[in-house]
Amino acid sequence: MSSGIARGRLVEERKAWRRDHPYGFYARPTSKGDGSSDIMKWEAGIPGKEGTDWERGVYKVSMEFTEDYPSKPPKCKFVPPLFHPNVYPSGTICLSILNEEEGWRPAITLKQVLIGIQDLLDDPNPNSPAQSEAYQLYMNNKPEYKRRVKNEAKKNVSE
Amino acid sequence: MSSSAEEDEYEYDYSDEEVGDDDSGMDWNPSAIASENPNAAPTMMYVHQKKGIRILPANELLPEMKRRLKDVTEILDISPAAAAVLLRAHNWSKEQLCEVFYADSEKILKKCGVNHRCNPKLPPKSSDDNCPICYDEMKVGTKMAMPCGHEFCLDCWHDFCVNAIKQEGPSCVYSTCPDASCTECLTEVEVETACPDYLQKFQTFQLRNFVQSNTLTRWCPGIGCERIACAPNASAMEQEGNVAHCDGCCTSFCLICGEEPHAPSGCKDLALWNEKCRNESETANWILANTKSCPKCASRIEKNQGCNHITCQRCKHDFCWICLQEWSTHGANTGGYYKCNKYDSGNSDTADQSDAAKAKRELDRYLHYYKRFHAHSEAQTFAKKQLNETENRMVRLQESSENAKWSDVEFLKTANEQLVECRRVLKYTYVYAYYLNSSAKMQKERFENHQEMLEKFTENLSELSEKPLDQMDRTEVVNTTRVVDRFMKNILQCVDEGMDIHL
Repeated sequence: MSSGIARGRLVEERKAWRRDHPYGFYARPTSKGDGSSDIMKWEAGIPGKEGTDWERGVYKVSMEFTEDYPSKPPKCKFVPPLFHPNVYPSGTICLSILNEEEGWRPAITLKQVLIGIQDLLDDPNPNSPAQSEAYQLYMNNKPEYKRRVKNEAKKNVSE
Repeated sequence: MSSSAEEDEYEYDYSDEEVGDDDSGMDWNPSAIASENPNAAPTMMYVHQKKGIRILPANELLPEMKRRLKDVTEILDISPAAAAVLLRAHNWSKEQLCEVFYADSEKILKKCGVNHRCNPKLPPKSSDDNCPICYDEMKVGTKMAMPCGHEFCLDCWHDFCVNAIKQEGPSCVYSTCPDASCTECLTEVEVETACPDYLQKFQTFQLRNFVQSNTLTRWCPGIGCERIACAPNASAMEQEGNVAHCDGCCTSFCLICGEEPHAPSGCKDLALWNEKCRNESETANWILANTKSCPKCASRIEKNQGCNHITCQRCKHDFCWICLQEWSTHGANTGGYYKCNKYDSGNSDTADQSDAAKAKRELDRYLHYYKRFHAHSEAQTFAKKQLNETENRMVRLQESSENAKWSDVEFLKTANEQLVECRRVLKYTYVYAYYLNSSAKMQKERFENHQEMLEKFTENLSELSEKPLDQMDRTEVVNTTRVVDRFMKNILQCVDEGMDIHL
């Protein structure tokens, strides 16, 4: 993309988000040490859907954009790393719309990304396991998996 | 070939070779041209079989591709851009495409991402005034949409197309609309409007795709090479051992699998072998470099410290690491307890039928072939390197003798080329032998005889051609080159015939 488009687009994403965003979510650029904000690095919160084991938790995600955005997707990570079959031990989220070679399109908005991650929470993709522990339990021991998820929700309950 | 003729070959009187008596070779050599000129690279001649495989510059396949596009455009009454997308998804086969198209055209158009392109009646979407990518205002004339109606500004379209072509390379032809959930496929129509500079690149990728899906063509695997090997018909393509030689970049490759020519081993065996080596070569290398077998129970032992007195962990056998003889025989008479001047190779015991023993025998068998495969592979690399330096050697040789013409020193190059070819063939004889049915004993013995002869004379040639220039014996090198060439063809012939018998 031509230079500068990343920042311009992110400023617009910020405006759009302030005008309207889904209930229970938050997303904002992080602040640098000097009090100004870093438009290339965002922090966001994703609520677990009601009626699922993830409910009442709000899971913190960091989003890092490069100058190639929106040609290239942002790198999204759960901080701290989350117990989930499609989340790498580093916290990095394995989701097709976040993968340049798969489903990423330049027109995907920040809102769509965060909603995509929310959908992933209770609908893991067993075809691309990213951590062994959650994957094994999800495949072989559902009761224990549910217990661990509820535990994760309790840890991340919003004040 | 009858077995008596074969023996005749072995007892061939090499001293006669000096005179170019080509007739002697006719009974076993199907390609007579190979023996016509003793200074020509005979192996290259063998490679150029009369099967009609042609090497063409890539753009010469364009007319054929365009013809198919035109056919489909007319038959299905769709745009050329849509025809290209549809043909790509169906191996560029008109018949395959038409069959599924007539069965359920709507389904196939949607699946391939040309539904909107082929149904232009759909009303264009009226988007708001801002580009959904850069969020800048879009004015009339600065925006564009594919037939799906998703509008973006031309700048963003440009960046989108360039990014796809540069980042995704050949797979850019599968790019879809930048909209989040749209599956409409990008075509050269959009590329032409948004970034005409990259149109040619896009079309090259389209052509590449055409070549790849076509079973009669293969893109030359040489780095950056833009040539294509074309077989005249399916039978020429399917016959194993079909070798193409690119006259553009001098790469030889198998038409069927694209690997280096691998006769006598078949494509399937080679794929199995490569897979096996990928999985095991590290292990194999380490085992060969660091372990020996216990002479009694044959378990592999790593000596990572200490003296030569080894006590096997498994069977408690005491033996010497150097000579593998019993330790009790060692003493002052062998040069002291910590020295050993004996050497003897171990023997294997085939009676043990336990799983461990079987696994061990299988590993040993693999190691046996791998070791030799690897050695010839290394030697081939070395011979190639030497070939690069040959010209210098030829110049010096010519200068060293009075009245020598360039043609008088060309034998050196011929010898070296022969050497590279022989190493390559020898390398693959071990793949062939590894997968050779062990029950075909006669065949195996015969094959190993050939292999042994080729190996022996190849080593011989290798030694002769590496001699210092002042000791170079031209007659001897020329003779050996020809003899080696015969043995090489012999073994390939032997395999060809052996296969016939099996079928």
